[in-house]
Amino acid sequence: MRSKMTGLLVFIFLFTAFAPLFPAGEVVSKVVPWSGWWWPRKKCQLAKAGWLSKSPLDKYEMAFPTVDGKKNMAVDWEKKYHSTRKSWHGHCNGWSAASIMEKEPVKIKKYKGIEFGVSDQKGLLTESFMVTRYHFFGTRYNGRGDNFDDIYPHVFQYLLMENIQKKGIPIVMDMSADESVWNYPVYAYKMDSKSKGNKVKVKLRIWACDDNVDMNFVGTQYLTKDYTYTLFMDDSGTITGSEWTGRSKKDHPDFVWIPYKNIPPHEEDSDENPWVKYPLLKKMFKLK
Amino acid sequence: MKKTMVLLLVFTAAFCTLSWGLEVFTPVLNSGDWWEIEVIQKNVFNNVKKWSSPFVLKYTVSKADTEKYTIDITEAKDGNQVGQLIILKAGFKLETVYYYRRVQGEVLRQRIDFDRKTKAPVISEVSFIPYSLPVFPLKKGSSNSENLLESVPQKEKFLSMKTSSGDKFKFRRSFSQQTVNSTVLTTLESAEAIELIEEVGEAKLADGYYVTVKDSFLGEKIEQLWKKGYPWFLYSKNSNLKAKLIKHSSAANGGEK
Repeated sequence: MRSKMTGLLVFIFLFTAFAPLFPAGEVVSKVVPWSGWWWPRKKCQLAKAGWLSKSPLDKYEMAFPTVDGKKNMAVDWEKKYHSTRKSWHGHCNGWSAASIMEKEPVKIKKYKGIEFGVSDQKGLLTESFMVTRYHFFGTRYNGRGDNFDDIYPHVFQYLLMENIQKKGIPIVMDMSADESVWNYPVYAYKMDSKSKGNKVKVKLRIWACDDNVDMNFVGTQYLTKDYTYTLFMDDSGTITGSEWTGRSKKDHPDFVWIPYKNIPPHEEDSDENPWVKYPLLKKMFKLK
Repeated sequence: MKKTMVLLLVFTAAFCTLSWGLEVFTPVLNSGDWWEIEVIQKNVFNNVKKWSSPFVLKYTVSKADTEKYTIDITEAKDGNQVGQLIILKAGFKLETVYYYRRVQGEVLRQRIDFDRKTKAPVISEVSFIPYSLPVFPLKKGSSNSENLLESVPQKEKFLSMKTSSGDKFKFRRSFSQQTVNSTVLTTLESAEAIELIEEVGEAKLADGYYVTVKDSFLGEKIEQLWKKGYPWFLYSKNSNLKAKLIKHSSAANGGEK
């Protein structure tokens, strides 16, 4: 009887100690972000009409010929500051924030007789979410001399659990450990683990919302990434550190951020087109 | 028996003298007090401009009852509420933080509770709202003190000054109930001192309490400068954020400063 009780107590201890650390099955956030095009700066499609009859910013200028009493220069600004950059330069941070913070545009909307398709609405929202208030974890890797291993896996796991599992809201991660930045909203994960002594080996799969979609795509197209890492514990079971293992040593998230509020850009910040005003987009697309 | 009594009295007297010698500081707020802090955040998406343009957050004590302070946090520019802090008067201990955030077109009020029993610094992680708090009261004159700057006589002397390390705290982070070590240090490196002087000014450094909290879990270090007579820190810094007090007004002390 005593041994059965002891066994039960050991089981309860192990269950309560490790169950929350490694939840079984997939954990999906309550909020699922929407896919949208990443608007590469090399193509400058937000400003330049290509196979689209009018670009999103062309239409925006038609809807608002003046902004704050001045001639709307959104197209010119975009061509000057958001073009001819490196091949990976785009608007992925604006899209990532907008896809978490705004409802997905799913149908054509008309304003002053001008038709704004899904691509126009998503493009303009993406531009206006380039600068946000956010919480930031890790450090951006900019090249030699910077810490390549960061963000550390125990911090990444903590952020997945705190936000996706506990709060039900996605996080944004830079999927590229090197100098390039590829932001993706992450909304689900799954973990498997094996303990040996003071080490726990973890296999992690994350589900991220994809931006490699058609401009008019509606819904969530996902991509998955697999990572492996080891958590180090002391004798009391406290996590003392962690390291990426296997292929994840070179291919792991660089940093994580969580958008909280859209803000107007400052004139000296060239990250967001200052002519694209969020309150005007709210009015135009009847956003809350 | 007599000897024991005498010894006891001597020890008690010595202890009381030492305790009286300790200068302690815990902020005291009143309903209607407000202050503004200027914040800059690391600009991760811009390689040219490393820090964001400054933005100002206004903290207003909307309620001060016998047990708690309620502090509303708004963006000074648009007046939008971004957060709220509930701080226990005893020990100026943070009990709850509310965030207001936009999710799928709706503004959500999100709550983070802190363990009110554990004696440990509060680490705001890397929130854009700085609310990290040291363990109060901050003490002066203690061998294990958490403070530093009793006076700032000369810059040279100040820069060479180093004091003993402070207390170690352990607190639980909601990560499988993991325990995380947190250390309060009082070592001031020269580079940090120069930055403090530049940001705050030498005059304000005198009699300030310099606090460093190291979060071994996140690998984060938070530095703060507190001073008696001010409602909030004068300066706070972590790897991604710098914040300084720019204005404050106390209902009890004759308004804006």
